[in-house]
Amino acid sequence: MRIHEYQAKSILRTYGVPTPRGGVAFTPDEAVSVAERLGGSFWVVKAQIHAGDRARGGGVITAHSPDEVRKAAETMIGMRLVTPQTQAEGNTVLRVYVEEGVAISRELYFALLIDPLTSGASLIAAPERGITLEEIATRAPGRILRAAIDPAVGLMPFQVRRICYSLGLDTRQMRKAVDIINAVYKCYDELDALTIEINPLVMTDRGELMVLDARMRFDDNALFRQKGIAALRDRSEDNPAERQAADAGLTYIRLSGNIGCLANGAGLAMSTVDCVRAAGGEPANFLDIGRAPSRERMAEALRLIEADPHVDCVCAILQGGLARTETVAENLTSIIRERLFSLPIVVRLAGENAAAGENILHDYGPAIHVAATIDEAASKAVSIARERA
Amino acid sequence: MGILAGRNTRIICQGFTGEQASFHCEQAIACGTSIVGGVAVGYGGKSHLDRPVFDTVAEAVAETSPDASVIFMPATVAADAIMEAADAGIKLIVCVTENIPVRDIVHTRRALQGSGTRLIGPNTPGLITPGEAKIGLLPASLFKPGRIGIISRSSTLLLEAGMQTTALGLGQSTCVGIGGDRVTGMDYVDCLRLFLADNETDGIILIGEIGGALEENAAAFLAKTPIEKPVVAYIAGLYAPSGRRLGHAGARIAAGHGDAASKIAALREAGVVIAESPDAIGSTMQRVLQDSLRARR
Repeated sequence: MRIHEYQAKSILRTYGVPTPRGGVAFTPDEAVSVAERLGGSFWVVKAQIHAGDRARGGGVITAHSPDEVRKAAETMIGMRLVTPQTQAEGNTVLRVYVEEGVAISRELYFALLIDPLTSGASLIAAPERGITLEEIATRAPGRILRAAIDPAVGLMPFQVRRICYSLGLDTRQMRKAVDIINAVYKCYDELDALTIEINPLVMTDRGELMVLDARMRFDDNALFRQKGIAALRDRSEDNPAERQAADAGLTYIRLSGNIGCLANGAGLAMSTVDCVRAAGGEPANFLDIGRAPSRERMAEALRLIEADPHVDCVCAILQGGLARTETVAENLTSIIRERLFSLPIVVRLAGENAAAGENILHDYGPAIHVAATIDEAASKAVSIARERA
Repeated sequence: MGILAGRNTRIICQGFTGEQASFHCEQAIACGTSIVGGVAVGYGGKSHLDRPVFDTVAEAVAETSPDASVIFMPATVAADAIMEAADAGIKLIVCVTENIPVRDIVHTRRALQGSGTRLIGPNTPGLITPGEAKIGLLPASLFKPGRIGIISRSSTLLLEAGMQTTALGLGQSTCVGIGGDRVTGMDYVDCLRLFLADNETDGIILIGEIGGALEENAAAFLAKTPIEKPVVAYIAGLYAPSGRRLGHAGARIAAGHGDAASKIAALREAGVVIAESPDAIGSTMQRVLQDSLRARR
């Protein structure tokens, strides 16, 4: 689960982490009154969406008067902000964060994350800001500093000291940075965060260190014990179809093609998308309906696919084994019989008693195309879609 | 036996009396697995599936001397269950539970370090040594005794590979689902070591997917290990969108890590033969085995 920048900064402040002063605004009027309350000579107006790299899409504007703050807020609120990290249609901006301007002398990148190299948390740092860690890794891989955190003792001050000296901080700055990074780690650990990016940590022209931007992602599986974090969820940021799917226990990701993909199992669902592509088709979505889906869940999955107007044909890769094969086949035919779903569909059914399951599909008639393998199902779906297009 | 578990492995189940646990333990018993008892808090002294039930793992260990435990407990208490089993001295723990907080598993892994206890999972279908032992969810009827070892993050792709190798008559020595989460217990390298040393395994199938660095670690291990057995790999998610989680918590391309193409390249570089399609995992293994037999003659 992601939260907004203003929420992340508010959490960090409770851990004693210095950030610029600011306030959230839902209207241009509110934005102006926040700026007036903050005082100062310039302000930064920042669109609050869950994707990063906002400046590139016009989501970060520096204003030098309350009037410019109003204009920036007017432009942003209600706009669909497209950044390299959003989907093509962008995210609608419903609120902005107005922050006092800070004169910066230096920018640093810090992140805490679950490190695939160690299967534990690591502190990552780089001597410059980046839009993503990926970007820093591509631009200057040798300059990324890493410290693996032992969960038994947590992040140790010496690890932060070593990184800070490697980044070229002097001892006074290093001491401040150690306090900040240790506080961020405490927050990371206590709140079951998966990623906290401090991007950037800045040194002001007065030699102060502060967090200029922060992005946090939390572990969905830990929200049962993180009620305060769970309450920060902003559902307006979710794609409506993906949210509907998640509520039904499905994992649905919209892609741009015309072949609806569906499978019962995450690995199988990834393979389905791959095989459709390999057969020369364009997948419309990724959809995992779970290893042993109920009839209701399968119906909801097919409804989701049919709600996408681009879909010409469905490629369903089903497996009995963790589910009963005949039950999978019966559920599918009953959904089609009740006309809950009407697109052409190619089905590959494998597992225990696969022949009995296939017979149930064959008996239904020509509305269900049965394929023996995943590749065959993908090719059939692609050719049916071509005929319809 | 293949690796990790066989005919003589004595197994208890934590969360024994639950619906899912009962179903799978009954299946396991039916195919000859030695389930010797179970643990369910508050059910101590009772009997379930004709096996004794205990309140604590320590009691179950004292009474039934198990080698392994399979855990079917809710995500909120699963880490506690793993630690209880390890503390009682159980050396193989299979945790089927899904949706465990990452932090819990990171801490559990650290606590198990040096204990000699192996953890498989969480979020795993478990493992099966066909004809001997089934620990977890894998349906015994789709497997048959043979000489191929299978390691997979995905349970459904493990089943695909299982069905294919069964249909081709190759069969399996042992199949291990290492789990689909970001952080898990045993990884490919741990399993590869065991399969390479197992004289009942002739070839190894590694099934991977996007996200993390486990496949890259496996490639690095194989690159510096003399491979005396053919290894075939299939990697899912070649066309996965970046930054999105694809069903498994661990299946996410992020921060420059984990795309399928670089995993495939690393494995190829290490001498692993890549199956190009999920349909071709078994047939690729069969071809590679025949080639290596021919080369040896």
